Formats: sequence, C-alpha cells, structure tokens
Amino acid sequence: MRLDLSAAWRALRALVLVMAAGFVLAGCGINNIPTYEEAAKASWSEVLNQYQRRADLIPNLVETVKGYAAHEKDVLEGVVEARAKATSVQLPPDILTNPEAFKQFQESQGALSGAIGRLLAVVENYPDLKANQNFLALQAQLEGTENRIAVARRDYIEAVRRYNTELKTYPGALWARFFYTENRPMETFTIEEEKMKTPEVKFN
Amino acid sequence: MTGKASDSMRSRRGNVMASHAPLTLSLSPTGRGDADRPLRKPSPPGGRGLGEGGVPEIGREPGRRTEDRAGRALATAFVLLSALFFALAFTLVAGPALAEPTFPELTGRVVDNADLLPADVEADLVAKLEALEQQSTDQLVVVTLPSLDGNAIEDYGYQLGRHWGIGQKDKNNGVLLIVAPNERKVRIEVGYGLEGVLPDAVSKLIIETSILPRFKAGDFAGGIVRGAEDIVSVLTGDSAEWQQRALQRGESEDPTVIVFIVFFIIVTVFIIIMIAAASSSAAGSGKGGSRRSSSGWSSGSSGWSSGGGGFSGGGGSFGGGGSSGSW
Repeated sequence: MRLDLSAAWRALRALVLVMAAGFVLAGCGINNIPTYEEAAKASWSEVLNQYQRRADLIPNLVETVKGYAAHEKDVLEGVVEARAKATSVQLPPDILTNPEAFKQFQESQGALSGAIGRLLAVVENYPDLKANQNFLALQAQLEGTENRIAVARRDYIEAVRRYNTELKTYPGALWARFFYTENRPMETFTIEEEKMKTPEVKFN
Repeated sequence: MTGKASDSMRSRRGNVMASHAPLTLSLSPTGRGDADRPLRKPSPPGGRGLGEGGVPEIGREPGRRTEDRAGRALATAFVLLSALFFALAFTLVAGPALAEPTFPELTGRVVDNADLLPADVEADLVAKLEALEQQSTDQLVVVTLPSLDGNAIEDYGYQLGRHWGIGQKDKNNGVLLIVAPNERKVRIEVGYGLEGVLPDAVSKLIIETSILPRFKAGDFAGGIVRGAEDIVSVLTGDSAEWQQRALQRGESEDPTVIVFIVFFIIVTVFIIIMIAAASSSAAGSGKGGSRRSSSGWSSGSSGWSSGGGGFSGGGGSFGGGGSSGSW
C-alpha cells in the first residue's frame, strides 16, 4: 500500500515537472515568434486590402473627371497606367522577406500615389467638377482610403518591428536558432515619407 | 542571428551543465537532455568542445532518482528558466515603440474638454447617445479638445478611438465626433464595424451640411448637437439593419466562451498544484526563486478602458474610416 502511494506521488511530481517546464517555456516566449509572425502577416493583408480598395476607386474617379476635363489626357492616362502597373505587379509568396519584391511593390504604389496627386491638382482648375456631387463623394472616399492606408501601414510597421525585435533579441533569438530556423526578419516601409506622401485632398 | 552569438550561448550552456551535473540526470527523462545532444554534434570543427567534455555520461544511465536530487534539480531548473523569463521581460520593456499622443480621460459619452457645450445641452446629448447604445449597441462619443498637440486630426482620431476602445469588442461599432476648435478641425471617426453603415461620403456630407455652416456662424453647441443627431439617425435609420444588429447582440454568447472558461479553471487548478509542489521541493533544497515561475501568466491587456459616470468603451477598434473637415 505504502509503495503504491509513493509511486503515485512520484508520477504526479513528474507530471507537475513537465507541466511546469511547459508553462515556464511559454512564459519565456517560446510562442512569441509564431504569434508575432501571424500578427505581422495579418497587418500586411490589411495593407494590401486598403491598396486594393484605392485601386478599385480609380476607374470611377477617372470617368467622373473625364466628363469635365476630357482634354487633360496626359494626366488621366498617367493615372490609368499607374493603376494598371500597380495592380499587375505579381506578389511572390515570400514578398515580406524578399527585399527586391517588397521594394517593387512600394514603388508601384508610390507611382500610383503620385499620379492621383497630379490628377487632383488638375481638378482644382475645374470649378464645375469640384461642385459635382458624384465627384465630392468619390473624393471623400479617396481621402478616407488614403487615411486607411496610412493607418494600415503604421500598424504593419509596428507589427514587423515587434516580430523582428523578437527574432533578434534574447531569448527570442535562442528560440529562433533552435526551433524556428526558417524565420527571417520581415521587410518594412522604408521609403522616405515625401515619396509616399498621400495626395493632398482639399475641400473649400 | 550570427553563428558567433549562438556559439558563445552554447558554450555557456555547457559550463552550466558541467557544474550542475544532476540537472542533466533529472531532465533527460523529459527529453531535453537527449534533444540537446544532436544539436551539439554539427557544431563547426575545431569549435569549443567544452560542452561535450563537460557532460558526464552517467546522465544517460537509469540512475536512482532520490527525492532530494529531484528537488534540487527542480530548483536549479526554475532558477535558470526564471532568468530566461526575466530576460524576456526586460526585452519587452526595452523595445522602442511608435510615439503615441497623450489622450484625455474618458469621462462619459460627452467629453467636453474645450467647454463648447452648456450643461443642459450636454445632458440632453448624453441621453440621446445612451438611447443609441441601448437601441443598437453602437457607441457614439462626442469629444471636444482644447488642443491636438500638433497631431493631424486623422492621426489623433483613430488612436483615441483605439485607446478608449469605443464600440463593442466583437463588433467594433464605435463612432467619435471630434471637435478641435483651436485648430478649427472636426472629424467623424468611424470604427471598423460601421464603415458600411456610415461610409466616408456620408460622414463628409454630415460635416459639410450640418456641422460646418453652424461652426462658421460661431454656433458650436448647435453644430455638435446637429452633427451627433445626424450620425444617430444614419446609424438607426435603416430599422431592419439596426434590429438585426441588436439581434446579434443576443447571439454573442457562443459556446466557445464556456469552453474557454472551463479550460481556464482546469489550468488554474494545475498552476496551483504546480506552485504547491514547487515551493515544497524548493524549500527542501533551500533554494528560492521558484515562485517567480507563475508570474508569466498574468498576461494580456483586454483593451477595455474604464471611465467615470458608469460609461466605458467596449473594446472596439478603428482603422482610419470617416471624414474630416475644417472651417
């Protein structure tokens, strides 16, 4: 009887030891790298989502402007071209850890931002267009979308910062070395703000 | 991560093992001692062989495990692991984060820090906003600010909404009406969940037609009240829409919550057992520090923020939806 009891006690103790090790390891952040990685990927999806939303607005915007300023051909075509380029960029699956692909994505979206900016600058010369209800609604949506892009980018930068820091600092670096050897630091938005600056949308 | 750093890490580990031989002995049944072995093998030739020489082979023998030994090993393991834990804690504190503006306190549904509303108008407005939440669970908060501290109102707005957690957590159905009279800016900030009901163009329309004309005439109270009323009427305008949303509120008690609570209770019981066992064995070996192991579990900020006046945000989030205007 006495023997059985002590064996049970020892088994319980072993169980507790294993569980304690599990808990403490979790407390040490063994799960942090995959957790932060997923968070960064989710933030990236939101960035793509908002850029897509902007691209979807552009055909409507171009059509509306055309109705009032058809002879501003260069500017209008510039927007259409930049949009086509930005939406046709093939995003490789490893874009987040591939500096080349990430840079290409940034540049195509930056070019589109610039083209939209030029279009909105031209619009200033057409008071009738600026008073058009349809145009005003589109402008409000575009403004809101640019703001959402800014928020999504900032959230992504923050998520990547956390993930990359975890990969490079102790004890995350230790977990990365032994368990998550495939994980690489992610790319983030590095272009200076001037180049990626959102077009100024003014209401008077 | 460079090879150099991991090499030094490894040799440090080897030293520890050499000086605390019993650790290898008691930990190998959990698989850790064995798991270390193949990892050490492919180390570069001519590398530090310290670890290999230092670990005694008796670690693999089915030796007699006395309770004293197990207790001492447990305590040593806790000391090592809690050191790791503290390293993590310091990492979290040290990491640089993006700068956040300072936010006012959420004192109620109307936070009139710029003093634009007479008391009776404010009380009236609060009643309307309360009715809105009861009807649709949407949270609308009116906030007036003496200063934006140099931030763009778009940057400030979504961060304030997240900070306060306006809107229900599962629906993100919060709206902020922000007025900054000194910067002459107004913004309607719309939570993720209401971007479909209150699109940017509608927010813009409310600002341009209901708010700005009154602000331009100096009637701040009138503009704010009219703007809030318009937002409320848009949010509740489609009765089928808000009734459906009110229905969703009843369904939100899904079974996963109960499963989670049961799981949480089980885990808690185990933690209590663990602490009891750990402290009894640590006391036997005379080494402290085991109690720290539980502190890793007080994690998580729920995103709920509390405010006076019986009102608090439900934990909703914002993604930059809405519209702004200036006068």
